Amino acid sequence: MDGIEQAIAARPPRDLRWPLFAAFLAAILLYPIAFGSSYALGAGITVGLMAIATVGFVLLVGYAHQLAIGQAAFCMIGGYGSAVLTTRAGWDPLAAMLVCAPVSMIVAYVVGRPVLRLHGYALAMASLALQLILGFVVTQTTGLTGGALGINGVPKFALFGHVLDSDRAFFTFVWLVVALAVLIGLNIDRSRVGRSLKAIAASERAASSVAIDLPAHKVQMFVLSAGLASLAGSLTVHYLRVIEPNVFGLQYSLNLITAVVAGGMYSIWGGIMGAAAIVFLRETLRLASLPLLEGVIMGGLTMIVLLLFPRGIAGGIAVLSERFLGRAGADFAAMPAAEGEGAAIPPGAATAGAEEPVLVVEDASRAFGSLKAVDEVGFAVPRGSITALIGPNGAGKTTLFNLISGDQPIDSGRVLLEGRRIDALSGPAVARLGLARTFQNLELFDNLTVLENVMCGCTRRTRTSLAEVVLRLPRIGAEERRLAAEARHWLAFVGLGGSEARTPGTLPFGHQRLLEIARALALRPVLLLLDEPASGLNDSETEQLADLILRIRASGITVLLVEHDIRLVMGLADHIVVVDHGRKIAEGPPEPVRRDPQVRAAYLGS
Amino acid sequence: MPALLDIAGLSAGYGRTEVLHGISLEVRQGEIVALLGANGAGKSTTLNTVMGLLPARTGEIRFDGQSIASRPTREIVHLGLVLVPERRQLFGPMTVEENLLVGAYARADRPGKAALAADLDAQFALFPRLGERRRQLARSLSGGEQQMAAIARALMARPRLLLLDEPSLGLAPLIVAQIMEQIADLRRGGCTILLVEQNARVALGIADRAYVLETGSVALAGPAATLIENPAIQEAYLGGQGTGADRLELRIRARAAKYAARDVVR
Amino acid sequence: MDLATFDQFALSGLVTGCVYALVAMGFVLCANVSGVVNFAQGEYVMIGGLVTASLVGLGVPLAAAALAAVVLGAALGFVQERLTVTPIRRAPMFVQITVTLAAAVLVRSVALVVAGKDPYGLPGFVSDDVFEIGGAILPYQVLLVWGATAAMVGGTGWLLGRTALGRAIRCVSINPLAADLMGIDSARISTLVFTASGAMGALAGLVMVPVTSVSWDSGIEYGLKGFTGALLGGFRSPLRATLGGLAIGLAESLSAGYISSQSKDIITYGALLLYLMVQGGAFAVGRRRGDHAEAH
Repeated sequence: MDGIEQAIAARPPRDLRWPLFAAFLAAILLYPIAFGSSYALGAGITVGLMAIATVGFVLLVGYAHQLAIGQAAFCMIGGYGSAVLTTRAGWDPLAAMLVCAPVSMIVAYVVGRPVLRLHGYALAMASLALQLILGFVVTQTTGLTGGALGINGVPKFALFGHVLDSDRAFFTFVWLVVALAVLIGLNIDRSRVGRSLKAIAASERAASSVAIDLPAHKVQMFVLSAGLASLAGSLTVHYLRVIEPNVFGLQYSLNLITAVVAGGMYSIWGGIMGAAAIVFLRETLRLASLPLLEGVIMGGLTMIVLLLFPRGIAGGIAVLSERFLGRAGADFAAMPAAEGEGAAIPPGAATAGAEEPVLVVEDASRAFGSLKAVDEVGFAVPRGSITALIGPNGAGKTTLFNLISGDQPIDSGRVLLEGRRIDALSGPAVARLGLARTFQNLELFDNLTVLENVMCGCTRRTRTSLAEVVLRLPRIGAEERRLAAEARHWLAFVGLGGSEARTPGTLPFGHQRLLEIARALALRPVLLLLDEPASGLNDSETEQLADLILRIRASGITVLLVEHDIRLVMGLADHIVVVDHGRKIAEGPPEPVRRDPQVRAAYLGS
Repeated sequence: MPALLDIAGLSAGYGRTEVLHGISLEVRQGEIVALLGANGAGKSTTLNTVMGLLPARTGEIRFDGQSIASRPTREIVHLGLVLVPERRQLFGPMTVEENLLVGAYARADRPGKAALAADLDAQFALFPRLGERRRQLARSLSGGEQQMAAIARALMARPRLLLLDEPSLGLAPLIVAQIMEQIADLRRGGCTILLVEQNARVALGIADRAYVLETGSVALAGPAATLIENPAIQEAYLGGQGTGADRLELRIRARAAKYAARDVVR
Repeated sequence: MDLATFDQFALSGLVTGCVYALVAMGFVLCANVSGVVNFAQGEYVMIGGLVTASLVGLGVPLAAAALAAVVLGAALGFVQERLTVTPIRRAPMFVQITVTLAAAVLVRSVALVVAGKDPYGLPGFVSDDVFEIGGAILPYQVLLVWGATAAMVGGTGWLLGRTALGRAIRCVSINPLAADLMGIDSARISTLVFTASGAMGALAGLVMVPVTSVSWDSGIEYGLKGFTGALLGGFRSPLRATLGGLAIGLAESLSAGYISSQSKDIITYGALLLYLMVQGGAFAVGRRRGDHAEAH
């Protein structure tokens, strides 16, 4: 059992993505030759039109974990925009399409930017409201949109004045757009953005702690998915040659949801498979003259797939191919470490102002109702020290820790990191300033490899834009290699070299602790906060941990630890702060603190 | 006499961490047994496992002769084990009286209105402060009053074994003394109690026997009167003094010294 | 401004508002005990109305039809809790939304297949006459709507405030773990609340049919507006949610009356969208709130 697991973990994963993409391109070119009938081409076009939207939708649902119930609103913007511009204003179809997509993206940004700061159902509801509003608007503005009757006589699609007259040409064009969407998706999947999104999905707290901006990432995916939905809408209208309010009504939105769920929402390819499945189902129902059953089938299918096969068709295929072909995935482990890059990481900023404390807490207070959890506590963490924060259970240590790390707001007082106030900043902002932390109950990204976990820690030093990521410009490849090399360095530093390709869940517990520390170190922090690092470790593991903390300090990083294991604290710390009942009762080197009568009373009772 | 609660070789934990490594302890009818230890030693984990909030990974938990390991919490409460949880866990937006009435929800004897009112009065006689505040919302109470309300709520269930998780937590010493006095009174009234405390002195002041947990194992056990003098208790909390220092602590200190020396050389 | 006209709009708004109020209450009760926002809440209303109207159309006596509708609503709530809520309680939020949304789609699509596309109506249960109040003219049926709503909201309030079961429901809403420690079976409480809210939704739907006809796709409107009401009420207190629902009904009716009947949905949905956007914006400006109170 263990042996098999290790064998799987040790086998280098193969990157099947590009061979797969090449095969996909070949299939696009071969399909019209192999299936020339107008029915086959029509079906292919219908699938392709939907797939443009669903591939984008996968980015939103499966990657950003956000559901937009009214996603078809953006198809509506694209569809109506193209129809109106080409019929009423005589625009070129390509120009109209390329104008509508940014408009959709701007709408998505305006709605998504504020709404995605809220949790959960906010985007679902907001997008549904948006779609219903748009539906009413297009029905009411009869002059422009033809009201309930819609617009007829939309021209065929044309490229630079050259009309795509044959289904064959239009098929090829539509599927090249699908390929472009897939390319964007795959580029995001294997980039820091995809990694960050997976990290957010695994643990929002841990993602914040490594400076990943959660709302910004969700908004980016919403905007991208809206742009692709808009393209799908525009192209659909040029294929149907008409548009009316029901074309992209609520049913279309629901079909998009069923498509990504059935196809597999965690896979870019799942978007295509889902679109194909939906079109196939609708065709079957139409041929069987049972169109009324569409909603029953779609609703039931969505429910059954989500409850029983949450990874959909793509997930099923992945399981099969894993069995026969071995694991596929990004191959960071096999990536050559770039010469010179990341080999010698300069230690955290240990040079500037050696006298100034790294962290200063001034009169910090925080109350929950009538309970003063932290009451005017002040202390400083000297640069280059190992400082420990201890106190009996319920003394306020954890609250204090959360005030420092930006997890909870402060009522009064100040927290300064290298002289800059951090008490009014969000978790990611605090992390960007150089404060890294670990978690009491391990918050690792289980859906990423060990190496990728640590690479997430390096995110704060990425310089590339989303546009570069989407197009995968050469700078991205260089940056990825640099991050991987740096991450490998930190893994070696904590003693986890060689485990790069494994997933965190397959590591022994003590190693998972070390991995979390490596991820935090990858931020290159000035201050490392350790939240009960020894809990769950046995004595020899605790001793190894102590050694690691000493090496971290030796590399120039100041350490602040909250810890229960008094032996670790007394053996390791050179500065100890004791709190009880929310107040600081002692501060100083270990021995005086240990002998302090107030400390003894706090721990043993008086 | 067979023990009321008998725990044998119990292991349990959260997620990937094992916190308890095979502990054994027993509570006999009419006793106050204290379970002591530093933060993270596994005291609360023991109570949570007894109450079925956590599965027992190995080992056995018997109450009055029948096995209760890994049974649903509801059934365990019905058998008469009632926990006063850490940090009280009162229902904040409900009144004190409502909180107490909820305590009687699971009672097997299905008390009528009059019986409930009598039981309420009994609690208010025991904790007069609560009587004064019976119509106030629980979240408006002070810490000490909240602790009293949590105990009173548990007593409404007429427990056969009362489990208390750190009743002194966050309370001022004077209030702690009051609460401990009230717990001692409960025992005089016939209640059996398992008391988890970090505050060793006050707990040993009212307990008959005690167990000291250290990193998930029972390190010491015995009558409260002898444990109170035992220096090993202090070690469990604060480590040794000077020469008596713990071996792990010494090893860590040696490593630290090595690094310091290297710095000097550099 | 003509007072009688205002009364007419306002009182009509308070009739539809009653249904929104009950849906809003259902949203909040179910979300509190289960941790899952049930997007099929509006479909119970549709089922109640559609089943009663179509059974009466088949010649079933009104009382029997209404009873059947309420039982079906309750059964739907029960099945939904067991099949689509309990298994996903710990799933990510977007999965929860998708599953309950799919349940809603399934219910309304089955309604479409069974009952067809056309809207159903019913005559007033007692009489088709109208009465005058403050210059407004209303059918007698609205008294039934108001009465049924008052009974259901009042009954729920009494249950929650005065009975042991109600206290248990509140405990599960406030702190499920502590409720378990009191020996309360939180899983059963959740099933019970879903079942009751299915029945109440169906009852609201069926008394409404003589006032506004019902069709297979009515549920989404009731659901979305009830949700907006619940949101307006803070999504925590059932009572405030009902007030939110009434406010939505009132605002919608007044805007339909004074602006245009086509504008009412745009205004309601626009208000929902703006509310979410402003709230999200305010959330960003106002720093993170201490959501983990007592978590120190």
